[in-house]
Amino acid sequence: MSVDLSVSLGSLKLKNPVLTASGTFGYGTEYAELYDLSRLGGVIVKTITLKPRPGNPAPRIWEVGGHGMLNSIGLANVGVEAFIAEKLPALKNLGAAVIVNVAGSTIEEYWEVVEKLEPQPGFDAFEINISCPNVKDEGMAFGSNCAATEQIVRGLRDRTRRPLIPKLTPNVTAIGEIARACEAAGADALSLINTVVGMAVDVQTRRPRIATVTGGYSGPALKPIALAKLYEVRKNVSLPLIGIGGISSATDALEYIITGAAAIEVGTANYVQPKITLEIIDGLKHYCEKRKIARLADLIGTLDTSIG
Amino acid sequence: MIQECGALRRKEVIHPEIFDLWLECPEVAHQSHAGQYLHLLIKGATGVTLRRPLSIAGIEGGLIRLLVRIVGEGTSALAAVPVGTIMDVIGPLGIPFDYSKVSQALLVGGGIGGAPLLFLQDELIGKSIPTDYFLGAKTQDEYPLDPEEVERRSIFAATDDGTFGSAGFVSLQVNQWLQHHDHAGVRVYSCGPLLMMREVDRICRLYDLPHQASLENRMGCGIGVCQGCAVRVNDGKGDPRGGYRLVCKDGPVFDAMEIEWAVLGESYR
Repeated sequence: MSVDLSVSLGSLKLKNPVLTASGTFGYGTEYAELYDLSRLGGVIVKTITLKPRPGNPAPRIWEVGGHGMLNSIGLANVGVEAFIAEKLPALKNLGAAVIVNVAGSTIEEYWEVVEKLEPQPGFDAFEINISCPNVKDEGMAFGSNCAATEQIVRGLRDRTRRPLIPKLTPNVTAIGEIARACEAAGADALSLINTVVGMAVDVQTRRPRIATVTGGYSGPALKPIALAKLYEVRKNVSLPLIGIGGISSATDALEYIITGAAAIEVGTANYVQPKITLEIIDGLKHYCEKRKIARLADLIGTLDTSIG
Repeated sequence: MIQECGALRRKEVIHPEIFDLWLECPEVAHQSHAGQYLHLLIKGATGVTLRRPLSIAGIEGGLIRLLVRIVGEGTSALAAVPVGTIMDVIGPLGIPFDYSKVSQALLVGGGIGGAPLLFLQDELIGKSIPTDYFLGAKTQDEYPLDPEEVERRSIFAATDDGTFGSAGFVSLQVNQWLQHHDHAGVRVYSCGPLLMMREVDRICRLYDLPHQASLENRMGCGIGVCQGCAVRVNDGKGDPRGGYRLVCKDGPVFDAMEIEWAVLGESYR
């Protein structure tokens, strides 16, 4: 039987729900040498900022056993102007949806990056990285404050016709409230979760494993945390949701879809097995075929909590 | 860069912590050049999330040689992989050594850092470029090659404690060589512990010799996507990466003049 894997994130239609997470897929085309990127539902490019950023001091990454990894890359990127001139043209004929992730160190910077990108062709939506520290608020992440989040998203809503997808940080007390702020401000969908703040110590030298002491924890260990956050957000908003956190198999992806994700993002697993996204797409199809589910979209949010 | 699955054909133990692996990956082997590396997936290894970058130590037909020292969970798991196992490889990755316009090559290796220089020696000999290879280690028990291969390759061996080859740092031997030879067309290639490479760099600056250094670092992706393996360089040209280079993609082979040796150790800590 043929299975329809297509899903919708508001006005953004994807041929399948598998996306590559920002920061783990470069500027979108690096992995093209290894496989046909047009098979993906979409790619999400690394965070683009107003000015180029060299990134954080080394060491920047640390593998946490078999559980995942810490990173503190510091949003190293070429800046919005070089991105438009050098990177975006290559994404035009990708054959998959292209989502550009953006961030700023002030609210105005978020707006300005999107203003510069909005007239450009070659991409389909914005994902908003609201996990960045706000330089005007003692480095508190924008995304941990409802008012700041709402202000960013509302300002962006006035500046773009493209779908807006704020990416929620799990490092908050009540993620549902942040989600509601995004919905009220005009977001089209939400993606969650960004990395969990984490840390590791070298007991020989008594130094932190990464130069910035704490960093973002990603990988397999995140899945239960992210699923719980997804479940919480789903109860708070009616927006389409994108699940992220430790996905490295079709079964992982299905857990998110059943919990309420219309799409998923694969992150750290890209480093381990670049073609894992294709295996996930095939696995989703196989799951639906076996159960005679004609449309994958019918599975979204079918979690049965009646028992237990 | 391709992804290929191939069998582990041979495994030889050189010391309990150093071993020689031969992988049958003809497509990758065919594209590989000295200085490049593989990103190897060690399936089912406990305590390991990411792939492991390993220098290519040589090519023989469709076989790729890896010289590996056990330093952590990944390399111990790799040491335990039985012969015949199918391994998942991405490669060849990174920038190879450059030996255009070289009339005499000096190879300076320390410990397991000698691995990529073995492949370089093979290539240089293939190009009939006169090559002298100095390979040192702390002690005989950490020497990365068996004595027969050292002999066959005419390697100048040294150990810090004199238990194998001559006694003392390999950099001393290089210094001596330079005092007794013409420097025209000489190029130096190094790979090894930071202290050794810094000393080689100091000597090369003293004699004004070009020097290519192969660096290591912890890596996530291996293809320049995650930007985890950054090292500081003295760029100063307004490069958007603002003074960082990625070992995985901009290296692992660098012009030693670019490297900020004073802070390099911080990247490895």
